[in-house]
Amino acid sequence: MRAILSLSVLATLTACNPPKDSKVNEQWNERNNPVLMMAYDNEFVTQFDALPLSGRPEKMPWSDHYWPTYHGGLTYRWNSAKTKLLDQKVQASSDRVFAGQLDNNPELQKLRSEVMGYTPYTKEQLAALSERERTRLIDTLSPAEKYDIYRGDFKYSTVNEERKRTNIFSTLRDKPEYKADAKIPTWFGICHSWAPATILFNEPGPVNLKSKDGFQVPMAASDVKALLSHMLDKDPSQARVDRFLAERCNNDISEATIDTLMELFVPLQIGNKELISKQVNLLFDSEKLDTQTMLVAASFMYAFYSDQATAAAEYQKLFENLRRNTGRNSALSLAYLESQKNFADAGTPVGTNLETIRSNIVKAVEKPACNDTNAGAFHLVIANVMGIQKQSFGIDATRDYEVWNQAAASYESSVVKEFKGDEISSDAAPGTVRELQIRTRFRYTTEENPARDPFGDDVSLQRYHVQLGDNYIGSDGRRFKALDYKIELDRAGNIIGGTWLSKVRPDFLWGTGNAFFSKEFGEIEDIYYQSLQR
Amino acid sequence: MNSVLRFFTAFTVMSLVAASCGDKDKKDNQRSEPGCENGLASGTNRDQTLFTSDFAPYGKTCQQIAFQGKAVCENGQIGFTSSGRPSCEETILKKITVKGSRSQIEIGETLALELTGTDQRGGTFPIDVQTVIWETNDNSISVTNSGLITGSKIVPDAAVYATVMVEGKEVFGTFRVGVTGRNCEGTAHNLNKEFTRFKAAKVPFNATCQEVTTEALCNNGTFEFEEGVAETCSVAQLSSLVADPSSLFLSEGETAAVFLSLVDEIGTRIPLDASAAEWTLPTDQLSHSNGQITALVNLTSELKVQVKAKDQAFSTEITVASRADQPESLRFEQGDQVLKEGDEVELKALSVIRGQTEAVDPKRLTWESSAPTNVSVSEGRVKALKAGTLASITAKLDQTVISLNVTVEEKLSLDAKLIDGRELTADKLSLLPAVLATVTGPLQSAEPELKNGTEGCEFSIHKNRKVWELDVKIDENRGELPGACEVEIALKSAAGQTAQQKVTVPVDYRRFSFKEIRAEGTEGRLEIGRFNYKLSKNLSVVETTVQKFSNKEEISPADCELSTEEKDGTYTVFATRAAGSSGICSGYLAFEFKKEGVEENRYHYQLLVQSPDKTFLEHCQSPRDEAVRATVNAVRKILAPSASCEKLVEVLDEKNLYSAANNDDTLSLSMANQKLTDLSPLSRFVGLKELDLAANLDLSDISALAEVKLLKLLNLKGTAVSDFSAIYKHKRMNDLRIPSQVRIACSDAVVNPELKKVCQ
Repeated sequence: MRAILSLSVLATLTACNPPKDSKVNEQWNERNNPVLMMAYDNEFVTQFDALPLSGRPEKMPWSDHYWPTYHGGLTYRWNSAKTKLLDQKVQASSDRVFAGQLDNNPELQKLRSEVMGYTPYTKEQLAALSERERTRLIDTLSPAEKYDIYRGDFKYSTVNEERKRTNIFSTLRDKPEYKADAKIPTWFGICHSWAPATILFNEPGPVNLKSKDGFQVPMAASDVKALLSHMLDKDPSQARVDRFLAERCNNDISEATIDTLMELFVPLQIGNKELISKQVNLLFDSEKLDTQTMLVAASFMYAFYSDQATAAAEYQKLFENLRRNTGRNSALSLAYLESQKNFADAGTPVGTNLETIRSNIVKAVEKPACNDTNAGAFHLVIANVMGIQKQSFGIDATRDYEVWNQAAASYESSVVKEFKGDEISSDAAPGTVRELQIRTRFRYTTEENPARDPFGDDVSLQRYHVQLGDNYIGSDGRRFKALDYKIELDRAGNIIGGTWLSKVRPDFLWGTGNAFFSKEFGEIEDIYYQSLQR
Repeated sequence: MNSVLRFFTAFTVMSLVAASCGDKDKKDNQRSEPGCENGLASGTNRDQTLFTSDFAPYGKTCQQIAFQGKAVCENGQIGFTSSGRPSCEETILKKITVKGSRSQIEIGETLALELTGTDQRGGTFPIDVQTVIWETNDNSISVTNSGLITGSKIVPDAAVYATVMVEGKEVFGTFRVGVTGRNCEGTAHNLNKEFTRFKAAKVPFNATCQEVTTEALCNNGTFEFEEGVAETCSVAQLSSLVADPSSLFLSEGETAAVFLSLVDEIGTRIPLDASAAEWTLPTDQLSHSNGQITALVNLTSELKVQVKAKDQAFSTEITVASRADQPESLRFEQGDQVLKEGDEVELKALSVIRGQTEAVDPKRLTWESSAPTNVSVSEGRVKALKAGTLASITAKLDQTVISLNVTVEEKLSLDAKLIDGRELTADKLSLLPAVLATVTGPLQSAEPELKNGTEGCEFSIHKNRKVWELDVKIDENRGELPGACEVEIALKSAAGQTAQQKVTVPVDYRRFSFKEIRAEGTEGRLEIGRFNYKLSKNLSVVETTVQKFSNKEEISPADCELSTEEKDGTYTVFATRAAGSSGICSGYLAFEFKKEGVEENRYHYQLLVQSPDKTFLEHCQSPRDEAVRATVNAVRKILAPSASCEKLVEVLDEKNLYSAANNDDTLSLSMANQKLTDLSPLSRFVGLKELDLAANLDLSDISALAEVKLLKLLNLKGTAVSDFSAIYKHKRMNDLRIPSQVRIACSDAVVNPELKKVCQ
């Protein structure tokens, strides 16, 4: 009994903490420990010279749509003429940012409602058509409708679920659910499920299915892919292994956001409590920073109190209010403690100098989580996972609060420069005797609009496997994108740390392993395997 | 209270409670039919198991508070002897609350935490702090087995966890605490305090002490002041009178000027007018006027002029000799000097007179330091007063001046620290580096010496980016491995300063090896494996146990016993099977350790499987054919894509073990659509709970899964499997997917609940 009990405690600890005996666990913080991406401790090859300088997965990730939320997810009839017309109208809309959702053009809104707010066909309506007409009609329907028709579900539970999930009717003006202030950002979608699906599954092809009611259901390759992504979205536990590296950055680190934040400081007057309180509230209305960062940014507003003691008392109230909402959160407490110094000169020209405040706010916004995956850990992961194990993994290709999940497709690295002795960066990890500047042409998989046929062949690089990084010009005069970083090597040549040089860098990495179709999605499993028989 | 009294008290209370809850009719009925509901006639009693409380206290079972009492029926009401209760519910811990009197402690301070448990009814009760597992998420705080926390480093926020296992699940509570530095007589760490101090401890004779207001920072119990600021101040006292020059060479009629100064104890020279001194000289040969000395005759011997400051006790002497005796040259015997603070050295001046080198009496020379508070000089005796400074020392004979430089070395210091978390282990036999050593002072480029290193540890030191890095290695092929690698880092400067520090690099070496042996036969005492371990000296095994998986009869059957025999450090593991037994027998070997003599809450486990089938290692190292290789590779791809066969077996063993032992752990293998046909490498996977083999079109034989009896999910869709007899007995299966068109005949042999659902 005693041993079993301990076994379960041990198992829990092993799962929560990085292993103590890792070869690579000291040089980066816990969330950046590349061991987190591996199946067992010390699976990594850490010696730079033993790592391949290029590699790609044995099974290349495929492309597909991210089934955007503002389209209604899987209810999007991507293959219908009306949808194509809507796309053209949106291109000409006055509201390109929200793809026409905010455009008051009645014609556009009517079309949006027809394309996204349609009433699905009843079984009787479909049965009344000739087989040829019916098959042609079904071919133009959305993946969710096709799936429901295939299953003989004319209550359209998948369509209804998707509409509920995406809340698409809140943006359609002829629906009772419409809300005037509703707007869905165009980057919301199910890329978080598409990315693992593209790593875990082979690329499906088109397949003609026969429904329970005997209807022909032509499934395009993208319809099957949509169903695979939908399945992982609904039940992520079907991917049994999930490894995660680095912290997610929840701040919008763009200049525009900093400008907007700084505008909130302009009206502030020293000693005007009401105004300070109003501006702090406006700051917290922003959705582009995480709570800790907003707390730090707010601390600079408290420098406009007439003295440090009042500022401290009021700031504590703000912190306590926040904590009541967020619960105990050590990151927030730490941010609170560390930001006390920001109003040490409250009420003085020094404390309220907007230039100084701006540079401090930039530092707070670009906090370590937004510094992304440690560059040394990143190199170890690409070279081990793609180079040696020949597998893909997921990345968030943007370093800010938008999350674009993509599957890694290939890398080619070259050593640009070597640094030794005093040339080594002062903040390099202890034990660094050599620093290498690496330029990596890293490709990841981007989205394509839905299509009938597969985009690739599971083996070769395709046009949708695009480069990530800053822009460079090669010796041949050609432009290319690459990630530039320094890696730190110890006396034995092991990679023990790194620093980013390029502005573009991945936010976080994650690995996937073992996919299972749960019973609920048995029909999707059948469709998937049929779609591979091509 | 005696037992009789207790009985009556309880009985009365129960009667009253019953009467007040019942309705009138019922009470009347009870009167007319005074028997009790449980068939006991009024006035009779019978033996009954009773409990001392309705609820067993935390940590006790109902059985532990049970006793044999009696149920008594009186007036239709049942009472129980000795305040007994007829039923009992056990107390299940649902929540732990950890409390401490403060949320912040200072370094070195200890705080006792208290635990309160909350049960399923919302009741609270104290929990013995000794009965929980204590952990912290930060090395800056340590926690003892009895919940005493002590801070060792500053940390703003850390968590202490108290965990109790309840029915195989963790219930834990958290206490958050920060560690600050020690306070300085009431001033909190990291805060400033204002003090009135002096700019210097001593000021020149002609100056006055000046107070300054300064802030000092409290740093972990000590106030840090700006350099040079002193708590007290005094004015330097005068200590001597000097004449410059103190030695003259004059021809007849020649005159030379002599300047007088009073010197204070810190070397400040205060000019003294010649008229303020009394001059005594042989007037027949020399004359004096206002500091001017004239030779009246041709001098034939050395003459002395005595000078005494009026109103002061100080005097000095001036030597006057013939110009013909003036040295041709003058030099120091020594070169420039490098000294450490407090050192004293005697300088010697040499002169050449008529070709002969002679030592010059230091008293005849006028000595001066360019920075008397850094380096003082008196009659050739030099004293290094202040580290990290330098001064030029001059000696003057008549008008000839010679000088040399004296450097007072900075204070040598060595600060060597183990890099956080560095430890030598079986997976990490070298640390590059383990320790960073910062040297300040004069020796920044000289290599430190390593002394008295622990035997079995190899040390080397290198300078890298202004810091000395100490690398440490251990050689695991040595018979005995040290429990720690200790070494002294030593430095010696040009001026003889020394610094020395001992550093300790922890070692936690645990190497285990297990050779799984395919059992020959299925009955009797069967050897199934050999286990060896090697530990560093600071570790030892407290206890070794062999156990079967509890409540897993399918993989740990009753007719099997697991045992070990230890000889010369090798544990041979046996499975003893009864005659006629069949199937697999599995369990595990558990080692509990002691580190530095203290029992650890850390174990090493080894999965044990008795089976006549080939081991996975055998399949992996020499696959019978491509079909086996494909299955091995499918497993490898999921669990550890770049692992060797040995490492893959280690990973698999661990996953099988945890999955078999714990209901919450699941070994899952998704091997769909991989053209698999031979599952024999999976036959010993006792912990496998989920297996997806869908779309392996040519897979028809699943006999290898016959002993994989913990399987819950098995997907065989799109395979050619038609014989399911291998999984008839898999009673834990709750998700079986079979190929379409397959029919399964029902029979008594089918126990598998999923097969039962689909058989016809």
